[in-house]
Amino acid sequence: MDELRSRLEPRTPEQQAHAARMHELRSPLTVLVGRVQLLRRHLRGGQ
Amino acid sequence: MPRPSTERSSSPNGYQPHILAINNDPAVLSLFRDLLQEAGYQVSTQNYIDRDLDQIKALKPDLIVLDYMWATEDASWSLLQMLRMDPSTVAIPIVLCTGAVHEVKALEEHLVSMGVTVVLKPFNIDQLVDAIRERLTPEHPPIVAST
Repeated sequence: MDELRSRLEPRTPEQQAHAARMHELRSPLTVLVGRVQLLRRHLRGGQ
Repeated sequence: MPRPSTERSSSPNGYQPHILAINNDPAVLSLFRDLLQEAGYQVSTQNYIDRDLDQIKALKPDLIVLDYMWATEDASWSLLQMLRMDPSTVAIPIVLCTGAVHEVKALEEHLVSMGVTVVLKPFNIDQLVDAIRERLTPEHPPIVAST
């Protein structure tokens, strides 16, 4: 399991920074997209 | 030691599967709570990763939605391992939500073998609900869902 875990480590600081940026971007995007989808669902249901 | 922030919501309408969502982002937890309650589940949320499984054991969730958090990568991975090593939690289905697409894809086979379904961010809300519904149906194996 530790061997598997070690494979998650980016090999360079640049890759690590890129992965961290992607995480920081994708979480808010997920919330935004999810909220819009929920709102659209409610609006459709209210019609 | 962070103050426990687990809260549990439920509906009086009979049995509902209980989902525990673990994520360090309150906005994500709020979305999960609204989405999953609307889908008919009881929802507990936890905004930190506790290396002690006692809280999870006490909640007895039917499924765990775990965010693979880059900022707390070691804690996320440790929790995943502990959940799979403890006899009382080994059978709990896990849906792993993550934006660490490259890293998790490299481990896709191993995660599936651990009984972990992966949903990659950003995801359609129906993908998450479908993944949860499938994992709560015993005959469905773990999957990797992506947009």
